[in-house]
Amino acid sequence: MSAVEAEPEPGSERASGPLHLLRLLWRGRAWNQLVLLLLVMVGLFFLVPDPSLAVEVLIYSLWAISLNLLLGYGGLVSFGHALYWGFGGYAAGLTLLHVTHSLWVALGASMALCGLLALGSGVVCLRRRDVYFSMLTLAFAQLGYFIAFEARPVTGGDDGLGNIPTPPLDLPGLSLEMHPIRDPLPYFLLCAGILFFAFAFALLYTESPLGRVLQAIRESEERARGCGYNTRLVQLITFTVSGLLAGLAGGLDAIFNGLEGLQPYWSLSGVVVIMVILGGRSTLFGSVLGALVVLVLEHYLSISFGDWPLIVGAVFVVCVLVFPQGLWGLVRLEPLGSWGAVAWTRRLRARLSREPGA
Amino acid sequence: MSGPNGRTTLLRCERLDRWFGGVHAVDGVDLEVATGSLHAIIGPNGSGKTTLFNLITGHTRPHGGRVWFADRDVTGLPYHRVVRLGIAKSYQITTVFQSLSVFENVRIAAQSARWPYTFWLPASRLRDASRLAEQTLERVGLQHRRRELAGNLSHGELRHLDLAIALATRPKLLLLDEPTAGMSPAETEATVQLIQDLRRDLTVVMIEHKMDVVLRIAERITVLNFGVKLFEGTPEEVRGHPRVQEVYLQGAL
Repeated sequence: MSAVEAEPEPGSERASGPLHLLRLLWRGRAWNQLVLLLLVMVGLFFLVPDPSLAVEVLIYSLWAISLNLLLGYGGLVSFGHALYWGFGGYAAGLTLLHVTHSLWVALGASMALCGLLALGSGVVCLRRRDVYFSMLTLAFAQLGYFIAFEARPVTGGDDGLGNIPTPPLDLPGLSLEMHPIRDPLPYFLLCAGILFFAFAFALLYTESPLGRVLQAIRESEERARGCGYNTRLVQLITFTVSGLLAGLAGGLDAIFNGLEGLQPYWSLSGVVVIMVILGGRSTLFGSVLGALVVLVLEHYLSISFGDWPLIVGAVFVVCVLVFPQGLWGLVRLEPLGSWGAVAWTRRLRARLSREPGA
Repeated sequence: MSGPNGRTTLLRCERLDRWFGGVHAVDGVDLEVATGSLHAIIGPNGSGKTTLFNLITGHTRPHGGRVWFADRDVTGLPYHRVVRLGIAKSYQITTVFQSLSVFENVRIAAQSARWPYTFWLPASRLRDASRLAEQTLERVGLQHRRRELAGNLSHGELRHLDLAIALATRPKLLLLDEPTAGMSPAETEATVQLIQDLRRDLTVVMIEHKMDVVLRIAERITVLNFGVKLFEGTPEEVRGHPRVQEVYLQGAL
């Protein structure tokens, strides 16, 4: 758990020598997850032959991270996270179709709408706990689905909201035309940049006093109240932040595809829940891993094998049974005992933390 | 306000009433706790001691009566607001944040005074909260276990961690619900020493079953029976009171 790792080791504050940088990185602070994220991005850039798959991995990672704040850190299992994804897409699409041609305004609209939506539904959902909370989030998602289905003149109903124009990428002193299909590179860089900042924000959120209280509430809400915290408020803030980030991901996806399709929100919500649990709930980076694995499996299996969800499901079952900590637990190779990565890094750490000259 | 012994009153309960279905769990209980005192509440199982605590902390709303804390009416305030005003409670069944480190457990409590809902800077930057957490851990003797996960502590250590979390909110009044429950004689002795040490800057109200502990360290004792206050007085008075002996102390002395 990051809460343990983040605490600095006493006595190693003023270490010097050639290993200093490595040591800083290895200290186990949550921030080295950002380095891992950068590595994944570089890997996606160079190793994935299909650029649209690479972009989708980035966007779904953002969505999974937003859910992990709730599910992993808050212990709040939301089965309705597709609501914010979908409505974020509508907000961005409708803004680009009818209001302005600015990318930033469109994404801002996604976040604003979904933040408000999450705030409103969060007030109701958080009145209940555990499975009742999950059912309420599911109910809200279905409500949103049928609203989108019925509001055909606005959302296109089950045909989806199509022909969303691709806005130019406006940066200070630079305006870049984007064609996601012909040349996905600018869009990849845009998504990578947004994911990087969102990931850094989410990391800060989980390491902040508020984020720590969120984890404490997951352990014991009663005790968190006994420490003087309004636990409902902490959860509501997180629910809102989570919905806002999911809306951002949904907006990015709608712009990328030029289309906001409508598929049942309960199954779509299930996909992102699987990503988070498969990747590992205990770290934010696990969600990136989960999104990567699910999408890559889907991409390659669906070409050769019609019933690909069967295989994804089987992988999921095996992972949950063998690695309760998800793929992140697999990466740490904990079941392998003294040969695993954890034992190995522990030895390396012990060697590194030995004071030079002592 | 002045209470017993001419000291100011920190906590005052007036005619508190609470029903659970047909059971009158707390029946018109008056309680006055002087600043700086150690006040014990005793009584047989089901006599309303824990319910009385819950009425004070706002877990349970009273059906009648009022609670005053430091000259402020706190009746019906939610628990977390009562904690903010300076009442902390340790739990009868130890309640800690299992999968967080011992240090983190206490630090979360310590940060609540100044940085409750901050999300724009890392918690490790809050030097004052970290320092308070260190001091509190030292006080309860868990300094050497600070990096351990709370779920890995022994029963006695958990009780001390529970206490440390309560202390780290910097309360004026500490409510202890059976602080020595399930402890060995040696652990009990250590806890008694700790409670006496706490009294230097805290007011303590404790529910306790071990009569030798109560008679030794309490200044005033309130005896509850079936939700009614049976008697209140010094340990000597309680020891000599015939009805108290009849309902509660048989065999204990």
